[in-house]
Amino acid sequence: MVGAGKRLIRIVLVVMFLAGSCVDPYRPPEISAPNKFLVVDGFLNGLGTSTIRLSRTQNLTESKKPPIETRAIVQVEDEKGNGQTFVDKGDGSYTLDNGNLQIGQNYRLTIRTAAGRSYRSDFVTIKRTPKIDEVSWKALEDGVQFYVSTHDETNSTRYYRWEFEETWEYYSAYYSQFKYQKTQFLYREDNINHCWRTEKSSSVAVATSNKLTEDVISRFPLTFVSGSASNRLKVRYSILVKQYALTAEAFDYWQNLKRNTEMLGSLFDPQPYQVTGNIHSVTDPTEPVVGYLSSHSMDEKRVFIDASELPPWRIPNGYEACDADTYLLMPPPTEVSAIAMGEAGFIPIDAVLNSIGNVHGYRMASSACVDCRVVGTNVKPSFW
Amino acid sequence: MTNCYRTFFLLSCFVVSLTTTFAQQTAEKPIRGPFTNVSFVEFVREVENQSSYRFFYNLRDVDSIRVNYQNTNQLLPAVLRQVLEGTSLFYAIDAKKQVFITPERAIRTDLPIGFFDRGGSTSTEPDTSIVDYLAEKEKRRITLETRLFNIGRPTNPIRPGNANLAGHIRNAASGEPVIGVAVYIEKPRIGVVTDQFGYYSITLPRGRHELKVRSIGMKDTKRQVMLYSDGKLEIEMEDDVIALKEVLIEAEKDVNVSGLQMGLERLDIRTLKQVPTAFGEADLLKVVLTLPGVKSVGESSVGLNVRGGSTDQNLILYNDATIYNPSHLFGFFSAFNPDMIKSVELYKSGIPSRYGGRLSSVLEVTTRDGNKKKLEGSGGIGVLTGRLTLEGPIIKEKSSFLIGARSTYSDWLLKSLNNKSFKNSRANFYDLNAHITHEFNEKNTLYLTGYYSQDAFKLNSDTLYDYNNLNATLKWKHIFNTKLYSVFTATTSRYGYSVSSEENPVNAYKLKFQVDQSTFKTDFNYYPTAKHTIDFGVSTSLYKLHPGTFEPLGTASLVRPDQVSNEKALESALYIGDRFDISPRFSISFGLRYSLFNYLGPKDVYVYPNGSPRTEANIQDTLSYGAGKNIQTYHGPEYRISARYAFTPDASIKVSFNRMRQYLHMLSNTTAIAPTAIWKLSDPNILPQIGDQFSLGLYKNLRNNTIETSVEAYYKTMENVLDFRSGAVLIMNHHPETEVVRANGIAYGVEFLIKKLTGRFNGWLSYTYSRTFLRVDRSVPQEVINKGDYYPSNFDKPHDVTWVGNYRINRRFSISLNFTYSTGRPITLPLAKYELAGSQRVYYSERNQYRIPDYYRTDLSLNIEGNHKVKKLAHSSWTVAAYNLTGRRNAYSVYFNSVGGIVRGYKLSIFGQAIPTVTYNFKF
Repeated sequence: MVGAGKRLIRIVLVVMFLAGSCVDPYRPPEISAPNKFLVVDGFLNGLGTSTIRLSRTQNLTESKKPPIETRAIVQVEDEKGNGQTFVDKGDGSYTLDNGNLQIGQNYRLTIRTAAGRSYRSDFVTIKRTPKIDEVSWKALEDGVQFYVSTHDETNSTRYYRWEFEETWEYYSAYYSQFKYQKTQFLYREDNINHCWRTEKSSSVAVATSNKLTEDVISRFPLTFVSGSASNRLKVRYSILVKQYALTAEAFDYWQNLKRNTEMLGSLFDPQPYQVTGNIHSVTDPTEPVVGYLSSHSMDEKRVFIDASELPPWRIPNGYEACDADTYLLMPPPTEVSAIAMGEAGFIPIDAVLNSIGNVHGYRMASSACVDCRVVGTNVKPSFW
Repeated sequence: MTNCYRTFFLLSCFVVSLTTTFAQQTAEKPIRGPFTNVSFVEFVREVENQSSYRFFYNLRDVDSIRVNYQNTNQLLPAVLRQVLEGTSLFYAIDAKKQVFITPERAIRTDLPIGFFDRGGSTSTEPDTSIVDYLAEKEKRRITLETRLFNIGRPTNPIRPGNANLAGHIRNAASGEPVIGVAVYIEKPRIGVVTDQFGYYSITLPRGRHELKVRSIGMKDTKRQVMLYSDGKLEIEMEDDVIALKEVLIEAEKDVNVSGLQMGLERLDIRTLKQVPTAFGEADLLKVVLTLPGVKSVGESSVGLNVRGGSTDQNLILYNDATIYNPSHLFGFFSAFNPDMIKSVELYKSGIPSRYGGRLSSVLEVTTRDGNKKKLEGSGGIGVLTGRLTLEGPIIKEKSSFLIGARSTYSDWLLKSLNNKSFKNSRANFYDLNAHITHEFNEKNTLYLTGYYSQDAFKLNSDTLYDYNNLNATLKWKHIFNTKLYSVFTATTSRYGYSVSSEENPVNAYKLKFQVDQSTFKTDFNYYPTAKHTIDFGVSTSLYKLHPGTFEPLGTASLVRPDQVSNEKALESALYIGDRFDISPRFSISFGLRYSLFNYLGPKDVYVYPNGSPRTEANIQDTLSYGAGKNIQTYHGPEYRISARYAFTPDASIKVSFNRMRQYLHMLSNTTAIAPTAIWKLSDPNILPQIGDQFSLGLYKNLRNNTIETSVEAYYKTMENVLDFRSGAVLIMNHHPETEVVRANGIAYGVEFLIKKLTGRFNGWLSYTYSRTFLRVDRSVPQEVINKGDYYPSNFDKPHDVTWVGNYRINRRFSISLNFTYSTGRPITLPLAKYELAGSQRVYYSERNQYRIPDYYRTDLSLNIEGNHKVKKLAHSSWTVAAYNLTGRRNAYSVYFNSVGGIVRGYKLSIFGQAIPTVTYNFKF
């Protein structure tokens, strides 16, 4: 502040600013719902097999899979009252292989549970789904963004929904030459090092062109696959995109379901609420039913990405934590034998020879490190 | 006993000084002339050069005098006699050769005869008092306080009856008016409070009075007046600065007890600056939020919920112009530059009849007028914002300007917010203010204010949001006479926002919203007798809303241009209010406002059948109205009644009832006000909101009025308030009535407040218990929320405890500690989970049946004043603060998302730790 009369203000600003907004896990107060409401998941397929899954809601704190609803009678009914019955698969799913459902016609679903309660959907029109124009991708900073583009020249689709299945190739940490079987170490014939894993999409993807002059969906960002969070992109990756045409009401349902169950946590959230679908209880009109019955045909498209097409990312193989150890067949009493480890579920990788060339032990590791089938299958998919 | 000693001491001093002055008399020299057409100031300079005379006068009194004096070698009295001939000025010369030039009458330079001899014969009214124009301020103040001001034309004897005294109270340093100053006499107890222009008008019995003048943050003063007839008295007050010599502030700031107004909170900038804030800068709205009865849904929100009202039910006025979005940066900052503000008044109940148009409250923000005496600047540098204000006279003593600017440095708040969705974001804002005051003459003053604020931000994606407020106010105050004055005000407010995205050229768009309001009003204040204070006026506002345009951006865009048709309406009102002081103990205020609303064409209005839900499918008919055609008229009276009864001078009870009508609504279904909230006028489908409030308050001042305590209870009903359907889409909606549901609300509560605003240790402690519920109209079953039962509104937070405390350690250091606790706001929590579309999802309960965890925060700040050297570059101060001292992670929201197929619960906290800030403020 000394400036010999000069009007100069020297300002020293000490900044110790560190705001940190944060998101912590939250456990809600113990809320238990008295009811187990029916959940209807699936759609009427205009050109192919229709599958409907029936399950029940459960308390938030439960860790089991949700209870499934078996031995129900599921029927699809046209406007004239002609019904066809779905086949009960016993696992909560009901299928109709060749329902001969007509695009443009109206159908509804009726459900009669084993407990004798009846449910019915509103009539829905089967919409024709236009073809997917392109599934494209772009390598961003640390992962791949997939886009889907489509259009309808007749401008009659307007509302779209997508689901996808990811499949990727990977190798477990060790190539196992032996298998342990009843105190014996035998040569292995199958390959449990090389696998494929498939996962279905878990988030709702919907888009509309109703604010555009043409019915065009241009590069809708479908999903982002991280290069660092998993081994998806390590070897070869494939995505199968399924496209469905929706009605405006179905679009609203899915969009609101997404907003209320996937997109909360911003500064400007509306209050979440239970989205109601188009399925109602006939027995008790006040009983809530979860789910929305859509009806449409389906179009799908598959694309592959090979690791060589990607920038040189450090993609994890998913087995970074693995470690193999040698276990002797006849160890000193302080150590564990290879057989004991085999009994415990460890898998032999290769043989360890002693100085005179005899097998006196095996290198072994846990099945999660050796057997790639723990999370996938070693059967090469037909499309691979 | 001590008093007696002091009196004796004082008197003996006078005796001594008088004796010495008499001894100094010497022979006088004549004044050499001539003076030809010189100004009085030049004349004085010449006379002072020639002689040992010293002149004392007010520049304003003599600026029109030209001295033409041809004689030479006359003595000064003769010279002056001639010079002042024909003017209204008089002169007096005392024994020290001091010359006093005064208007109207000459001052007496000697003590009245019999001054020391106050026996039974002396009246209680000495007709003059000692004048001693010593240069020192303190002495001058005392002089002003002891000098007798004669008001009106002197008569002898004094006629019985009342007379009116009016004038302005100004800040002695800057010449700015001071508002909210209590001007009163004690016997009988008559008092008024200065209005926004610093103007007061008080009707008193004729005769001798001691007029007391008190205001928070200013040194108390008083004036001795002899009231002969109606007249004027301009009073200057001095800032109660942290003086080197401790000033004892004796306080009888008992406005809360003696005033009729209830539910009014007044904050001056001094109070505002003491309260620590998250980013170091004094923030008006954040301080308002610490007041009892005022809440918000969350940390970053400046949306005020006053006594259970929603955020759109507050009329926020900035120098009379409506502010539609009072926030910067999602609400982390309020849109008001603290250096511009003089004071803030929040009316929660007993709202005067001159205000209308909103249900819950009126927040009136007044800027300062600018220093009329010298050029000054001030500013501040905080962690995120910098601001600079300049002010000074344009024509000295007559007109002044005040300009201010404020801006953020960069976007690094967002980068520091350790939130993934903020990482790729940017945000900046600025605001500009200009204010000009010009006093044409004593009776006419003009005020001109301009305000512009701009925000732009990008949230994570490429979507760019920006919004701005543009306001202008022109105000002309005209004083007809001491009993009647009027204010003509013209204001215009514009608020608009736009959202645009260019990431995908095919979908590139720009969305725009705008509201324009032009208001003209005339307000009259009339003080007919000591018992009545009447105000009346008319106002009319023209609203033009552009509810939304959606346009393609770029040539590749396929976006179909869309426009929600514009809305237009006229809101007019006529009001009258009378404050009737029946006795010093009992006063009543009656007010009536009649408002009229015309919804005007051109517009297409949809018609829905009665009793069925208003959905797009149910549109029965479309009625087209031509331009300027009156589509719908709503009108109704608004009653404003309040009464006060004082049990004792320091305890009173007040009751009030007020009805408010609101014709303009905000459509936003987000919990915090989103930057994309839209405003909507009442139309045939959306009825005006009507709110009634009863309130009852008890006020008691303790410890010689230094401590104010109050309890206020209220009960409020609200009709036709808007709530929103689940999943409402409000933006670009051509028929927003299909997304809203009509609800009725009730709110009630009790507010306890203990406040001490003076002394080294000051602050307030408040506790509020309040509830607010909504119930939707049950006549249409499909629109029912929560089965048509009452449910807590989003901002129903029953318990609230706030403590704001300041302690001045010494003249340079002061410390502030704030504490706030409140119940968590209601939320909708999931009851169950289920699996759908490849993921677990949650099943929600009814609306607002649970609460987020309770809120608790402590803030600490230390204010360090710069050194007190007289000569230095700038007066500076540092504020070191820690916001959220305990680092508690208060829940802003609690929510559940399905991530990777699994339901997870989250708690979002805006401030995850203590936030230390340093702010440098300067004044030059």
